Amino acid sequence: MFGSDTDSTRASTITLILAFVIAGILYMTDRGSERLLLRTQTGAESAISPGLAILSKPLRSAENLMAGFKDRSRAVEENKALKEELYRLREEKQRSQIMAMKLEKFEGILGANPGVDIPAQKIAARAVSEIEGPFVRAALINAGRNKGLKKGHPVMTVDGLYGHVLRTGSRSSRVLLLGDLNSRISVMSVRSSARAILSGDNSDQPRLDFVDDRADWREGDKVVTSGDDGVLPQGLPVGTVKEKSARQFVVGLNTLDKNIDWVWVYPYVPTQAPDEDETNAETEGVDTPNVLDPAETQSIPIDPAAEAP
Amino acid sequence: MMRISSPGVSKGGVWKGILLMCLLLIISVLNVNIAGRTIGFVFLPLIGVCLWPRTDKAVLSIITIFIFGLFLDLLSAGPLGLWPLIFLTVFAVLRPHMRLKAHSFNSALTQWVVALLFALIASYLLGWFARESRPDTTALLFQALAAAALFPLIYGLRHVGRYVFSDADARGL
Repeated sequence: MFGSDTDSTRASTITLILAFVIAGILYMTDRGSERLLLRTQTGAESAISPGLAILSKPLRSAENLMAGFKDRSRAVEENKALKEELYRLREEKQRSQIMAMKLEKFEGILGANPGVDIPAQKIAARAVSEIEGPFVRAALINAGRNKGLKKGHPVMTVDGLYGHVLRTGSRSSRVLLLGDLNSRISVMSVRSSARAILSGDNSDQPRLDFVDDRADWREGDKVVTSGDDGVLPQGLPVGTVKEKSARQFVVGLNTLDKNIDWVWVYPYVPTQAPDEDETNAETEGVDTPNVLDPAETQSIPIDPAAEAP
Repeated sequence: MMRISSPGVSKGGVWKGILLMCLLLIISVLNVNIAGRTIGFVFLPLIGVCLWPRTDKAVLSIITIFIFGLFLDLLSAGPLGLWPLIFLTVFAVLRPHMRLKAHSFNSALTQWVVALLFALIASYLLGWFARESRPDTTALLFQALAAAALFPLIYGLRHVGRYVFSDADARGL
């Protein structure tokens, strides 16, 4: 059945049937969220990532060259637009400096210093392979645990948020892109601070989910991460809102249609739940002076008069 | 005694196949950005299966193809077992004399297009079943088109390879 005289031996037929059965079993067991052979996958990615980095260089160079030609063809037009933007930004810079000064004063008066979520440190990496396939939207970068990358770290390009680290190998990491079906991040509008969840659906334009009826979302709103999920820092640029139909919004990602070559990773430490925080502090042997003893809390005298409005 | 080789079969065919598959597998993981769309070549290793050389070791060929399929699943982050199933089906359906013959370009292309269509439909349906969400048809079609576009190149490479490595009898001349 499986061939002519050259290979229709009993051994080859049995091997073929066995291979089919094993492949079928693997396929059936892989259904669900947890992937089988995850370690093998990470190992395989780590093994091929140096080779891919070398092989992808000429491809990326060619892409950049083509992009360079395109840019040159509209250089005069862009130059004019950039000059106008520069004049506008100079004004805005002055205003923001005055605002920053005021804000600093107010923070000083209130004794509050919320700080900036986005870490100053950046870990550079090269996107050696990108999968925009039918099942998954992910990328492989050539930095892993050797550079201190951890699961959940945000991955950026010059244009904005690219995705987050899904898993790390010794020398490579798999990045889940924003458009992937499994990607969910909390975002907000820069204009109105309206919140929503950016849900990937394996398309170029992920949609905004859980949009409140009263939430003020409009076409053209700039979208940044809200930091509400405690996983990503606040303020990472994501894209621009497009209204697909009435109250149905999608986001045109900043990184779409761009040649992704170099990326950087923010080693952001996510906000931990109090229990995890305590456990970590205990295991690391760090003093936790701010953690109140329950007995101590109970013994704090409460003045009823102070509680009265 | 089981016969795993036959008279007139070129020795070392499996290794040429493995070499070709390794090359195609590496290219399949790379991607290019054309007109703002990232296009991968995940279907490319299927050419290797279609053009799998005449084997002197059928069992080894099957095992190798299975492993390559598994490796492609891992690298393309697709459902595990999907590509081994497709590769094995194509390998089983394409009878050895079809893989062995010194194909004319047209017959090789027809064979490839049929295999590609089968792989497209299978990966769509099996992927849908495994991931419980409909795969992105556009991405699937673009990948298939990219692989189809590279077929003449791979065919040419293989043809040159046959002349370099094989004698006239093994080439089927």
